[in-house]
Amino acid sequence: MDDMRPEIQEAFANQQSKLGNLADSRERLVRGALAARNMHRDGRTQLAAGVAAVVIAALVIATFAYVRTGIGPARHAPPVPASSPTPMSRPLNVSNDTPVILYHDPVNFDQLDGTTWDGKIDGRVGRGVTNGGVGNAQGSLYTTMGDIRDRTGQVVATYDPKNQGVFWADDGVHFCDVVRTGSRDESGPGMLQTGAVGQAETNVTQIGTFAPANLQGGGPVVAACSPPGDRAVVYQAPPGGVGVVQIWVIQLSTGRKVWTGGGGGWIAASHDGRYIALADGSGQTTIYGAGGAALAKLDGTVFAFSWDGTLAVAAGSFGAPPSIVNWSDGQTVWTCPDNSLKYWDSFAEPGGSHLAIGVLDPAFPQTRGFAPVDLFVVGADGIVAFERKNVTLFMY
Amino acid sequence: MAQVVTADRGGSIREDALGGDEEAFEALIGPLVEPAIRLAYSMLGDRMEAEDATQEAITRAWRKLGQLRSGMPMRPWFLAIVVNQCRNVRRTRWFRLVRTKPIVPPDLYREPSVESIDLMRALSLLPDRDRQALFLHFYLDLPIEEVATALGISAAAAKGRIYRACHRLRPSLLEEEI
Repeated sequence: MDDMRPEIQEAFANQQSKLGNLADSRERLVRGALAARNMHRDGRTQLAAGVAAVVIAALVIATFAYVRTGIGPARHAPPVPASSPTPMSRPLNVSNDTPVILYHDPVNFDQLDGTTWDGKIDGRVGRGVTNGGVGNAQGSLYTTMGDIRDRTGQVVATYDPKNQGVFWADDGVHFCDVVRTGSRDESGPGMLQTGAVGQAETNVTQIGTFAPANLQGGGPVVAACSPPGDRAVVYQAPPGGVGVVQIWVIQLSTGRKVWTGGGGGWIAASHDGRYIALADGSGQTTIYGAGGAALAKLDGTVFAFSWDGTLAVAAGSFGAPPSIVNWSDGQTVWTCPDNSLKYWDSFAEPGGSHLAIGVLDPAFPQTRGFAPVDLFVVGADGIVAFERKNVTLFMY
Repeated sequence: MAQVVTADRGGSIREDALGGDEEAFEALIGPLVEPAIRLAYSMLGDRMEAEDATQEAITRAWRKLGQLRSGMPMRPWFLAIVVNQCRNVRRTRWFRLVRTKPIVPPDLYREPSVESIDLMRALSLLPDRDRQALFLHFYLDLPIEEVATALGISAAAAKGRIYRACHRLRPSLLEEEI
């Protein structure tokens, strides 16, 4: 066995070489540990915040952070106080191409408000959203009960919600939908369409099968729509609508089915349809690439991808605290700081590096048709850009 | 290769550390910090997490110093605290990467021979506990008895893990060679 020692040592040495220089680690870590020891000895509570210089023990301070020179950013920023109890009166004052997160005004549920992705600018968007709706990724257009509205609340288009849906494309201008080609009372194939405000819908390709409408028998559903990426992802939902029977990735310009895959549980796709996460129902999720190759497998369920597709929002289940994971190497970038918070919704900052994650907070139980969440907006580095409690995100 | 220096240099330093002398504690624990970071890195794969885990282990070692019996070497005792802290960190991670390689249909998969694969990949395929035993014994140069203490197992079990791991890396290894 000892004749293997040189080989094994070399292999470990190669791994350890990635660790870098540890010359300053000894003093830093010992000093930091002694400082932590003294903090506990003094019986003080600690609140982790920010990065600081090396702290010598015996300082008496009101807050405490573990400190090391040259360490990365803080894991969790202090929460922003909940919104004011008065309706937002100030119109949202940002350019139309500035992405915003849409949410129901906390006082007037029928009013739609928006906040920038750094949480610094809030404003009123429009009204008529009591029954919910869906905004595009940019928050510049949104649907509600057959209307498509812009950020001033003006109706810019209408559609028949009974026979058509709107799945916003990642460019924020187009949308996709799969419509019936026959009677609602009969089974029949679906037709993938794309459209835009002010333009007639374009047929792309027949896809999936609709069951008769009165049977709740499932049918084809859009999971991603990307004219810039020339790709859409559609899956066949089973009766009851939960789960995946089959997946198709379609080239929008030609209607060609690029690849098709089998069934599973929960499905999530990157905005451009390049990556698809499919839970297999046994507690694991497979990440598929643009051509259908399985690229990785993770424990748990993936609910969203970052805009660049490298990070995934995932949790053990809908009722579990979420994390953000680099799915290619399994490294956790951020973990929900409180195990009592349960995953609810998530979405990516368009063209940016943040992920917005809404979690159910037992301190704010649901009292109406839509669940309030605590909203964490987290960067790719794991830093929380801002946090907001008791927010009802704009969604169906 | 990491050079591990036995830090147990005399009862007086330990007594001073037990009495609250921070310099004495630093003299005891200091030489073990780098091997601890390396061990933590081998388990967690991330320098920041490895340093966090090591710092936490140092804090725990300070609090538990009274439990270290006189004459008991400090190195395996402290590395055991590091191992446990790293296991705690991994338990709180939500996600474990199961595979990154393209998933090959079962009928096309063949167990690769050691001649055709990189040894580091082979090590990464070992069960964690076997790989930890190899790391402690071959990279940190701990004798079997200290490997056992660090991993919280018997010396016979430690020897078995090391043998099993080596056998997987080189199936022709005979038991008599251990």
